Amino acid sequence: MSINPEENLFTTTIEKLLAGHFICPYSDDIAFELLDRESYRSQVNSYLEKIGRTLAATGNRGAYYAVYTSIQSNERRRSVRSQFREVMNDMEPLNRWLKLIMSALSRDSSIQPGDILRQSDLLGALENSQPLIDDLSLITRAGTFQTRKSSVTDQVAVILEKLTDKGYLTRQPNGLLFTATGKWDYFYEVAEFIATHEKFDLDVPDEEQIVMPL
Amino acid sequence: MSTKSAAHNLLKALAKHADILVESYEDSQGRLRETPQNSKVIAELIALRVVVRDEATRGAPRLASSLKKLMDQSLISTRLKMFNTNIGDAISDITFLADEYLAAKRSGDSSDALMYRNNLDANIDELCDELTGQTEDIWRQISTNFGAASLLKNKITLNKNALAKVERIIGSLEHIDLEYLRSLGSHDRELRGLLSVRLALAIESSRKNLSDAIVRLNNSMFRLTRLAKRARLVNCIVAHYTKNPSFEPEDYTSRLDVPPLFHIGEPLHLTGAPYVNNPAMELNFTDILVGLRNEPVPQERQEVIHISISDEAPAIKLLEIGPFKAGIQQAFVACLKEAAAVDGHDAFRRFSPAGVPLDIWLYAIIAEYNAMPEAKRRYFDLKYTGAIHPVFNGNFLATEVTISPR
Repeated sequence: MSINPEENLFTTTIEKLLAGHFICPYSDDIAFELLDRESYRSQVNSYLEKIGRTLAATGNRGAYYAVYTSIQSNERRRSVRSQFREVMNDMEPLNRWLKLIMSALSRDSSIQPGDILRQSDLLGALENSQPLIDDLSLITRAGTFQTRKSSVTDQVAVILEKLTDKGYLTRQPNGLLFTATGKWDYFYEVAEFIATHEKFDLDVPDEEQIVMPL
Repeated sequence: MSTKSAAHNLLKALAKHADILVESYEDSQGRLRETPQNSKVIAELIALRVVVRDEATRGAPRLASSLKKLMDQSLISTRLKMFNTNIGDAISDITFLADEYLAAKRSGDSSDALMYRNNLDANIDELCDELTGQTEDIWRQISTNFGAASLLKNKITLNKNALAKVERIIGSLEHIDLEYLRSLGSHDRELRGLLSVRLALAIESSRKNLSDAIVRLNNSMFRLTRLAKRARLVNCIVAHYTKNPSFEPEDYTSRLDVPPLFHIGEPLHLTGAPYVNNPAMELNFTDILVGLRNEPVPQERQEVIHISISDEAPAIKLLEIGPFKAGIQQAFVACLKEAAAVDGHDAFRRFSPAGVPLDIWLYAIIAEYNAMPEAKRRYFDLKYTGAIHPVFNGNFLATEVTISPR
């Protein structure tokens, strides 16, 4: 029996959403294109609503994901709490990693969806700077990116692997290039929420550009 | 010298000295390196007004801005150009020339009328080119994402500047009284062609392109500002965690109204029968197949046997021998007692417990002999007869076993 391709796409889209994936042009361009259509969104939504969920999008509509329609039961509250804790546990290491990337690649903007990360560029930049290597060690000492590996190459590989597992990066077929996904938009939204509600000092002066040694 | 010949000479000189001019164009300040060898060439270029001596740099030669502008335009350079065209002045000049042209025509002064018309033509060309050039320049900046600047804050500044410039030009275009220009040309065909068609179209086209540019510049401004905001956010959060290593945010999911941002639940681990005909699952299946191992999974659940560590001597439990094994051993004992060979069939009849198949009995005798310690085995000889299995020729089918004392 042949299977209807549209049914396939619908099934995999729903399954991805339920499995906690963020659907964006960089993680699944076909599903994203479909979700960008109002009619398809309402089909997906009507399915999700039957199981207490609904479709949500990041502020700039760069990524779609599934959320609970309401948090009434204890079971759902436990579930969202668990997810919240995971995001909060990632908050410090991910921000440190973003800052490290900005310093290493002499960029004054942090990683954005669609950005390409070259493992070789990163390693090249890190190997020439002891302060950055120290920062990398700090990131991998505990928490999300914890590893016992001591070489810069291994530590970077572990971080990239973890970020891919968590859906922040997708690995390109050659294995050495990574594309940032729309999940970063969600991450920045959460970071902004926390910084605003926890009254962080947002007037941190812009840091000077780090000029890498030749 | 006629204008035609002068123009030819100019273009020939530009071609002849192209190397030095290009070198100068690539210099960030448009300077020419003056040496005793090229001083004659530079003098020639200065005479043609394509190179000027800059008083601010002690008379060092540099490209004339008119040539630089021409090269920028031809090479579609990303160089930032800060034109300051006063569109109002240009329109005033055009209006003046149009009025004078009409007056000269009315008074029958055809020579002056022709001069005014030619000047009017050139001025309209210049204004149209200027408007097109500025619009193209704005779009070039947008399409290269303000490529002239590498730092985000500089890109933002350029974006703001471009927005202000576009708004200024659009504002100036709004002030042009197109109706008046049309009325000027209403009674003259040539003037109508210049004012009502060429100039009006150029203004309309610029206005449209610049309005589109405003939308793009606003989007670009929003994007650049967001980038800057996010970079600042990252720095601020890292600074906060560095200053407060034990910082933990409030558990926003324990609030009565959980913020919608945190309505994400744990991922559902979907289980179910795999549908192998679904091509969308092909990658997942491939992953599973790659992950399969050839060797068996090691037993991870191991049973623990508690060993007594008390000083008391452990109670020794002797294993009792079953009737089958006792029967086999009796066969060997009988062989020694009788000091005679005992064959398997005979022993089966005498010592085997009920229900044991004959072939099992015969193999058990062989197994008992093979498992005997050497000290015991040296008392016996064991012979067996039989045939190799017709199909599975690694198997030997015993039909009789004979134990004999050695």
